[in-house]
Amino acid sequence: MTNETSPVAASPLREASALSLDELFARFDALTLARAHGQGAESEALLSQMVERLREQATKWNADEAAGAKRAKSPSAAKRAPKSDFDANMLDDI
Amino acid sequence: MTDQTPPAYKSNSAFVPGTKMQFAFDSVSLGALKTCPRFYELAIVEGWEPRVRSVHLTFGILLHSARERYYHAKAQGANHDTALKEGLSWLLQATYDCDLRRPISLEGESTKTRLTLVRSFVWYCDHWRDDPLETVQLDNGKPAVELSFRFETSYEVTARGYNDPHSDDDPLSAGKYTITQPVVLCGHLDRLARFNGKLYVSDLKTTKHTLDQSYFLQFSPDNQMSLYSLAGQMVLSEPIEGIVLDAVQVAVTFSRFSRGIVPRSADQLDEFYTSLGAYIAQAQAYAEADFWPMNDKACFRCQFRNICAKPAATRTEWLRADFRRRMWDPLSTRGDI
Repeated sequence: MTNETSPVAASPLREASALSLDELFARFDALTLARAHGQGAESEALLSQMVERLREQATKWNADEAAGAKRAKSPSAAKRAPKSDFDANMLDDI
Repeated sequence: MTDQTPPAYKSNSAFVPGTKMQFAFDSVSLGALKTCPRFYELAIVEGWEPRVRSVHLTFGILLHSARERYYHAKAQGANHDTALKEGLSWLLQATYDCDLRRPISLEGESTKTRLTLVRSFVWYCDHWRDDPLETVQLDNGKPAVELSFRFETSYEVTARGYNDPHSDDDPLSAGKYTITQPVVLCGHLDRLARFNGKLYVSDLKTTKHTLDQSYFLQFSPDNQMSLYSLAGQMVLSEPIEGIVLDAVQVAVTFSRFSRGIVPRSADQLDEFYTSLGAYIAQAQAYAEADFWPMNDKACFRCQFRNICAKPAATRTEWLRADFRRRMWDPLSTRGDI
């Protein structure tokens, strides 16, 4: 038997704040599917939660990078600084 | 040869009807011509493309489109968060296949996934939330993003063709004909923006590579950047200062952003334009001879390498197996959402 709606998608919107980013994606996809079948669906709360999660990731990444930059300023770290990975054939660049 | 009235142009065709002579060039088709005549023949004249589109191309198109939605929403008065969620909503729906009931496949590159795409979009918009570049508003009130352009050059192509008298075309035009057609340059500018009162073309690029000075240096010289600079000079009512390149480094765990200016002097644009005439002449010669020679020094990472490596007599069969026909149309317009 095919289960068309995942358990994640079936949970109430008010629980969105407790979901991971992957779960938020799955929930939004379920709404997209519902919309494709003519069923109205509210996705604002999910989008807000996704943005919040991604901003949390950005804050953490920026903090980690700032800490890394601080460490890189040390004389010992400068010796092992990575070289640029520039490649003249950057055909993946769009 | 008898000169007769040529058939009516197909509005979406960049080629002189009935011929393999292209008269409307965008950066993609011009770049293909410059790279390798055979590549140009296969990709542009015959319209072969891989059955599975490059993940890099898909990723770039989706990011551009989401950003376009963001700018449109802001131009309509939405605040940053509302515009961001509008773009995000579009992006999530564009990356979900309702028929297959799963997200679209972005395979082949670990750094370019649905998650890194969504993350890059949200982080990009947040990063440039207080962007010193102000998107130009068009007279119709819309933001100048994904702006289609086309303009005639001083170059011409002369094509010779033949209309089948039994075809559905105008019977008066049946038979041999010659036609001289001005060469048109066309394309789409990502965004027009103003900074300190000066006008710039803003372009968006994604890459997995480090955004250091070397990254930005690769765009000088560069076919696309020169064409966009020239277009900016030709189609706008005021001169542009250059290209502002927004680069997005997409990695598995982060997206990083950097902005660089790609300058083009008048001399550089003159040289680009002079070279364009030489390339157009080459394209005409290839079309007349119906032969596009292989540049076998440009095969590295070429999508047609395996085809060109096969015996000539079998290539069409291999193309049919691994590629599909989809004519690239430089004259298609955008910016109308």
